[in-house]
Amino acid sequence: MVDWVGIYSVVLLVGSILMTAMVLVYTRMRACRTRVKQSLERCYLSILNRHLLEGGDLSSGFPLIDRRYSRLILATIVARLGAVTYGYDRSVLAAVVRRYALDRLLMQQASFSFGMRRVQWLHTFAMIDSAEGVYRRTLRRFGRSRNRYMALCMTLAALNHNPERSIAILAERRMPLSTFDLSEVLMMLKRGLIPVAYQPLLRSEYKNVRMLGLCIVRYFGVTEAEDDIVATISSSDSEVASSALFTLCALRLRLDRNEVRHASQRMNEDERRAWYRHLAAEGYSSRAIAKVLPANEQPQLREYVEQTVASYKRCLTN
Amino acid sequence: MSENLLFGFSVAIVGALVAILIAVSIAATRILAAMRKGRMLSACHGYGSEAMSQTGVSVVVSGAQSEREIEERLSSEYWRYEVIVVLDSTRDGRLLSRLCRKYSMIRVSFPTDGDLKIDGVPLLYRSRQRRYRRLVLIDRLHRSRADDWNCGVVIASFDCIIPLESDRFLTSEALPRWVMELHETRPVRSDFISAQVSPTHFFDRRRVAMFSRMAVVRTGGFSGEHPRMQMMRCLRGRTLCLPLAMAKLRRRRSSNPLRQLLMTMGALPTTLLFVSLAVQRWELARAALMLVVAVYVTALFISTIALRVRLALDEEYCEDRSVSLRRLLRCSFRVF
Repeated sequence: MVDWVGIYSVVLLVGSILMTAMVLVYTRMRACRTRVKQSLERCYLSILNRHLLEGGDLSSGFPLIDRRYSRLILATIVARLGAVTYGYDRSVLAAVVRRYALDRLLMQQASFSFGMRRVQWLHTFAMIDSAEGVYRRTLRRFGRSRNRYMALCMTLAALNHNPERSIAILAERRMPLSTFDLSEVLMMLKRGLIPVAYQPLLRSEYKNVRMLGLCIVRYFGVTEAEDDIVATISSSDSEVASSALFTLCALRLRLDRNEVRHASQRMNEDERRAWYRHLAAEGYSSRAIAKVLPANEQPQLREYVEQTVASYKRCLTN
Repeated sequence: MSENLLFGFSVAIVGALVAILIAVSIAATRILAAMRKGRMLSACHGYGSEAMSQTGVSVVVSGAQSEREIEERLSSEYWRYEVIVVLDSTRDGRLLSRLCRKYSMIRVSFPTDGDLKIDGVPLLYRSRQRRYRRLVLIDRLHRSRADDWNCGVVIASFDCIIPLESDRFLTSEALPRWVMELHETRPVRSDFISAQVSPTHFFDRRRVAMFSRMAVVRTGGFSGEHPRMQMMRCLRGRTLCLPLAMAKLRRRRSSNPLRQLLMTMGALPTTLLFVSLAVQRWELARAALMLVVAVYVTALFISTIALRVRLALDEEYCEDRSVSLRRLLRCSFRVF
């Protein structure tokens, strides 16, 4: 037994020494790599900015671009720049992608890596203008993944590749869009890739599309969509109905409607409490909230509403 | 007889050490995976944007002691967020008056018919200026941390509650990450999501957690000496292997169960060693000594894993190698 304990101790001791050495070397290497990466990023960004602003060909090229690592940095910069170039000629970035085959490189990188690193490369891939063949291959390889982040990346890639089919792409998506997914799609929309036509989105029969429509209306403050939002409140899907109520409230629109009252009635007591509390926090008066309360509302909930609204007002007994 | 006893004891200790090593390795792998996910998310433009901030979060702080602490908590970039600070003006009345002056706080009505029963008559203050709307003050006689948190839950505007002690601070990434995890589609909805306080405290019970307000009210509010732990035991939730909060004050005594376990396991063979030496049985003494060494080496290995996690988590961590090594040895002795 003593021998076994001794072997165990020696193995762990050697393991600790090796691991410590590896960690320290890795930290040092990472610091060096970060410095190189930062200088390359600065350099590539200035070259790309110059081309975006002044035009011209890319014959001058990028330093150290023959290295795989440098091309990956360039791909990341192109994706990041593409996400914030409002109104610039996107063909310059597309030309860079084609010239250095960045789309193929990103697809290979995603194939070689696993987990969140793969998602990171796929997300970068989704942000650049890829060639048709590479896009098809990537879709075939990762399109059927059950990982929700990879599925989101593929949806973003599809939206980037075929912006005119955006509604169909979202409708065909099997997984529901989470808040994060919606905000990512919204960022693409903000870049001008997807048309901001909220009406077909709000009137769609698909949950994902309606949720995106509500998100757009809320984010851009489209008060003209009032009728469509009110119609959405009657939706059978509780998540869509709740999002529509939230949107109506966020846009500070009138609440005394039958649809809102019916939606309140459908909620259980806890949900109603939360909804009234939300209204009070948003600044609605007790009179405005009283109009939303269902006719058969419990007296203690009515009192709760009064007191919650009063808790935002100056205490006159002071 | 004593040899058999020592043999069984040695097997049990080595088995426990191996189990701890495996558990620590799994925890470290999960932390590193969560960190990689965080890096991926921070590269996304939509992450933490206003479009994502549909879910509001109320942070309830019991017993803040300075203005700087409160300001630090208010600096979050998350959009729908409020900080409810529970103070006791009978202990330090000047802090309350300073805060009221600085943030233009006025006394407002406290809703007495809330979902939870509150002892005493708390006073509620909100700012008359819109830019300070995320700060809410409650002045009440301090009874317990659980009572303070319940008081905060009653007046919280949002449905997600993060109860905090005065020495705990959320990291800048905490709120968007927590909300994102909350909205991840799962078969069973969680009533709370807990997170670590320090990256290297793998099995620390002193976690922070974001609770659903409805779940807290349903269970009758916080209670007991360790209110957060008790609440987490009552509800169904999940744990996030990522440090989303930090403790600013050093605690005098750690309640890390891993450390306590290893200390106990280290103390027992040591006692055995001395007993064996006393009766001049070198074989037994040697076996006990080997067990002590095994425990120490395991602690050293765990510290190495902790160092790896720590260095990976902190991007800005550019420490001298000798300092890192010293820290490693100190840490392993502490664990031992």
